[in-house]
Amino acid sequence: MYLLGVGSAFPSNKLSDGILKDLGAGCSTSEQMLIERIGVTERSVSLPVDFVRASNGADVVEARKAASVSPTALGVEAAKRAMTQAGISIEQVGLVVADCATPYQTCPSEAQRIAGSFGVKVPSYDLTMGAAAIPMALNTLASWRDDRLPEYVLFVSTNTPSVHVRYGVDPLAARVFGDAACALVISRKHQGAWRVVSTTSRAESERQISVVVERSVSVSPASVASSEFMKDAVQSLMSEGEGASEGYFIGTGMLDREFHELVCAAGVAQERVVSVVPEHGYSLGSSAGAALANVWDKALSGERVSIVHCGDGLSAKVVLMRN
Amino acid sequence: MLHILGMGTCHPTTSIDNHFLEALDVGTNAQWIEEKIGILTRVTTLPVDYIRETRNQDPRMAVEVASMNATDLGVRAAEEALEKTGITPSQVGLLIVNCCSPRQTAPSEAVRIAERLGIKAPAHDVYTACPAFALHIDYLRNFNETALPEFVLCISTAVMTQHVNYNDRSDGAIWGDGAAAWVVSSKHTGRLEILDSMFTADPTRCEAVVVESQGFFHQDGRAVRDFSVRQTVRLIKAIEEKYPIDWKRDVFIGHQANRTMLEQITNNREIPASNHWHNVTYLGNQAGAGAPASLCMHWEKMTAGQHIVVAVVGAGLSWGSIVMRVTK
Repeated sequence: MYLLGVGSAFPSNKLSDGILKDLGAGCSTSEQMLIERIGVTERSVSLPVDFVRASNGADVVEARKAASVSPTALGVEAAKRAMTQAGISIEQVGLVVADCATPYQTCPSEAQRIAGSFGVKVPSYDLTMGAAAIPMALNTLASWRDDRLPEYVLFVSTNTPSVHVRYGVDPLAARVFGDAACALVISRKHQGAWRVVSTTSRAESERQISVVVERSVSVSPASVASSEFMKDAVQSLMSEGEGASEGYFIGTGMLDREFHELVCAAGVAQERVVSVVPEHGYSLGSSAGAALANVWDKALSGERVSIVHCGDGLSAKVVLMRN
Repeated sequence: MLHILGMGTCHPTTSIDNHFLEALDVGTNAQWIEEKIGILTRVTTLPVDYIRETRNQDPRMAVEVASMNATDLGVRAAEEALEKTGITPSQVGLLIVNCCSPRQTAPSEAVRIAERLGIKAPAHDVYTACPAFALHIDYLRNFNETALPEFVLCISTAVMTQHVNYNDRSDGAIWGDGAAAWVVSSKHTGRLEILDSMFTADPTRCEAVVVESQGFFHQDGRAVRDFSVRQTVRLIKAIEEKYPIDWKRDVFIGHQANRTMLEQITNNREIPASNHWHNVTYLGNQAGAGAPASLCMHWEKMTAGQHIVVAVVGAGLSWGSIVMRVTK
């Protein structure tokens, strides 16, 4: 199976640490420790900065009205870039699959809204897989029969958690989240720039739910994977298969800085651990795909990129190789 | 070859009849509801006093007062399906869930249900709203059989009454709440053998049926009704051309949108009432849970050799079908 194109999209509004500091509410010690493990310094958000300053915990319904871009629009933008890179048009896509934890509507599916924005009749539905969206989607599609996989599959992960953040009330969520979308064009019948070498996933002992999106988005520091778990999981995933510690690495989880440090501690060069989280904020399943878009043209023929998920009761890895 | 090994359902116990809706004084009456949509009662997770007093004008309040949420219903339906199959949660190797009315949009409904049931296997939502029964079966048929675990648990759960504006004379009459669950295996044979399935969509019409997150359900009623009848008839015709369907023996189950629509379909295909299984008359439209719940409720009536034809339509707009054969 091949990746023929990858696209990403971010809203243009930027929220710096300085703006958030001005909002007032401070973090507890445990929250501050978690923020250190995540390592976000700036966020791309769909909310105008003036709205954030004035919102003071505004409801999600009001935030959506103020937002400059919806998850659907962001997903469409990323999809267009992925299809341009793949050199295909939407009419050639045989299946649209989407992942979205922050939909404006719970019906129809996000995939149907995205496909509807393109004005095409195409099978479409959601596979909602959370932070592990990219490795799990590739793992799933790689398990399909040849005759059931369309010529081109468009997978989109899009999330705008910022509209669920109660700025001025929840300083932890305010510091963690940013908005992003990513899209992948996948095919088994046509060779692309990247080949899927292997996919693995396994359930871990306990299922922890660290991020909840309801009216507001919240992070539970007590449910975030411990440093010991992260260390063991990263070490385990990095020792799987030949050349497992070579190439580029992308983490899918919220604990971006910690993942970066653990991978580097295993002997991987700093610049080989790629992420969009520090400069755009954490956007659940979309962040890893957006990071992959950054690696797309950097890698040389034969180089690998490993996308690694550890947390929420699941470990997963997908290894891609540049053709 | 996939088999369905066991099924389960869960519905809330609170039922509201057409006279209750007439008493809301929103321009409808019991006779009109019965004649137009053929639903006599519907079940809801909302307290009747809450509906009477507020007409659910703030759906976010509904979440707070409801007796159960979609996760609760899904868990109970799953427990029944696992028990009837004779397996434990630890034997489930994959959980997939469809839910158009989740209380939370993260984590996925599947992860919430997995946590409640103690299922440690991978869990994710596979979602399209009403035609979920067909989507889930068709989705699982995509996999190489070696990639499928021994047992897959599928759930469709919905609490659409929590998204109903009871000042709307139609929406209040249509919707009910419910969940259905079914256990699928490619490695064990069960009473239902999957012969065929399909699922597709026309997203250019995705605005025809909408549920606002934190808000109301709304639809283009006439357009959706016309689409539903026409598309379901097309699905059945395609199955009739491909398989030796005999409506004197075989059974049809459609999307449980409303009974008059279903009767238009069965009249068109000359399907006798005895071989049309439905539950919408007394439970209301349970979105993606309606069709599988109907099958589950008729499980003991299945006879060996019978074909079960499921043709379902809904939001997206999307549609799909399943052809099953009763093995024993």
